[in-house]
Amino acid sequence: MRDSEIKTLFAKADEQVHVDEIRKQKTYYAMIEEMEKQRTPMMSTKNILFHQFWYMDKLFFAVYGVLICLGIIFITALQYTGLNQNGMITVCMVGAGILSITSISVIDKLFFGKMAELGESCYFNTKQCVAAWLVLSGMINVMILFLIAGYLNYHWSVGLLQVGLYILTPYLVSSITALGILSMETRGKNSSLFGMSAIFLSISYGVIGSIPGALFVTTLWIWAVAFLVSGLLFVMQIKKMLSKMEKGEVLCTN
Amino acid sequence: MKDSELIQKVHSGNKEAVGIIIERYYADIYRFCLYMVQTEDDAYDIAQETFLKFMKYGTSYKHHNLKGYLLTIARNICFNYFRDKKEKVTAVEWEEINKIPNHKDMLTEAEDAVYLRNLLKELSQDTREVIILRIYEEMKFKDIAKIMGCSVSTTKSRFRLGVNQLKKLMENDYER
Repeated sequence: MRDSEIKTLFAKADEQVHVDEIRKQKTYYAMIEEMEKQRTPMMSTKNILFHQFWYMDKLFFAVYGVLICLGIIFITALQYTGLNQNGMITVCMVGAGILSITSISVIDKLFFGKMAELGESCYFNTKQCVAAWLVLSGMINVMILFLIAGYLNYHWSVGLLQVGLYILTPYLVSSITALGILSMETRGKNSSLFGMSAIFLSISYGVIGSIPGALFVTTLWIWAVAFLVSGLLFVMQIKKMLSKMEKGEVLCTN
Repeated sequence: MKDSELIQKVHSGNKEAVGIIIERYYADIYRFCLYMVQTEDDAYDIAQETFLKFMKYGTSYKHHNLKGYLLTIARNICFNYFRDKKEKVTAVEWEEINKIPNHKDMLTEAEDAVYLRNLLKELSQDTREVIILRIYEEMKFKDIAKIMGCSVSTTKSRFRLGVNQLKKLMENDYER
C-alpha cells in the first residue's frame, strides 16, 4: 500500500463531501455583517477615554491632588525651618519618588478594580486608559518636578542640570518599582506593596542624600549614568506592562 | 486576483472580495475541519468561525499565504473544540462511531468519505492533522511545521507514523 492510495482515498472522499451552499452563504453574510460592524464608526478613542475618566472614582484623583498640595506646603514649611541645601534636595528626592509611586498606584485603583463589567459594554480599553493616565500624570509630575527644580535652582543656587538629575533619577527609579508592582499578578496585595516600596525608597533616598559628597558636582557623572540606566529600564518596564496587559495577564477585564 | 490584493480589498470594505475568498477557500477549510472533527455540523460551525476570526483579526495583516493562514486559524479552533469536547465524551458518541461502516462492508462507493473519516478517527489529533495537511492539502513540511508550531523533523516523523498507522488499518480491513 502506497501513500498515493491514501491520497486517492482522500480524492474519492472529497467527491462525496458536498459543501452545503446554504451554510456557505450563511458564512458569507456573517463575514459581511462583521465587516460592516467593523466599519461602523463607533465612539472615538478621545470620547471613550473621556467617558472612562468621567465615570471613574474621583477619590484617587483627589488623593493625588491633595498629596501634591501637601508636598508643596511641606517643602515651603521646611524652607522656613532653616533646613540646609542637602537636606532640602533629599526631601525633594523623596517627594519625587512618592509622587511617582502615587501616580502609578492610582492606576491600580482606577483600572484594575471593579471595571470588569465595563469591559464588554463600553468598549473599555484599559491599555489606552492606562497610557492616557501615564501621559497625563507624567505631564503633571514633570511640571511639579520643574517647579521643584526651579525652586532649588533659585533659592539654593544648585545648577539646573544637577537638580534635574537629583530629582528625575529617584523619580524614574520609583516609577520602575511601581510599574513592576503593577505588572505583578498580586491582586489585592498591590496597595501594601506600593506603601512598602514608597517607605523603602524614601529611606534609601534619605540614606543616599546623607552620604557625604553624594550631592557634590564631582559625583554628577554617577547620577548621569544612574539617570540614563533608569530611563532605559523605565521604557522597558512600560513596554513590559503594556504587553502584559495586552495578553490579559494583569488585566481583570474580559 | 492575488491573495494580498484580496485581503487589502476586504480591509477596505469590498464585499466582492469577501465573496471571492469564500468561493476560493470555503470548501478547503470546511473539508479540513470535517476531516479533523468528523462531525458535519461542527465542521460547518468551525469553518464559519474561522472566516469570522479572519474578518475580525486578519484583514489588517499581510499574508503571503492566505490558505495557510486560514488553516492555522481553523486548526486552532479545532483544537479548542477537542479540548472542550474531551470532557463531554458520552456513550452515545461511541454508539455513533460503531455505526460507521468499515471498508470490509463495502456497502457503496459513496461511503468512501465515511470510511476515510473512520480511519482518520483512529489517529491521534496531531498525526491526523499532519496527514490531512500533507496528503490532502499538499502542503510542504516546512509550512505544516509552522502551522503546528513544531519542528520540521517532528512533523515528518508524525507523518510517517500516521501513514504507517493508516496503511495498517487499511490492510487489516482488506484482510478481514
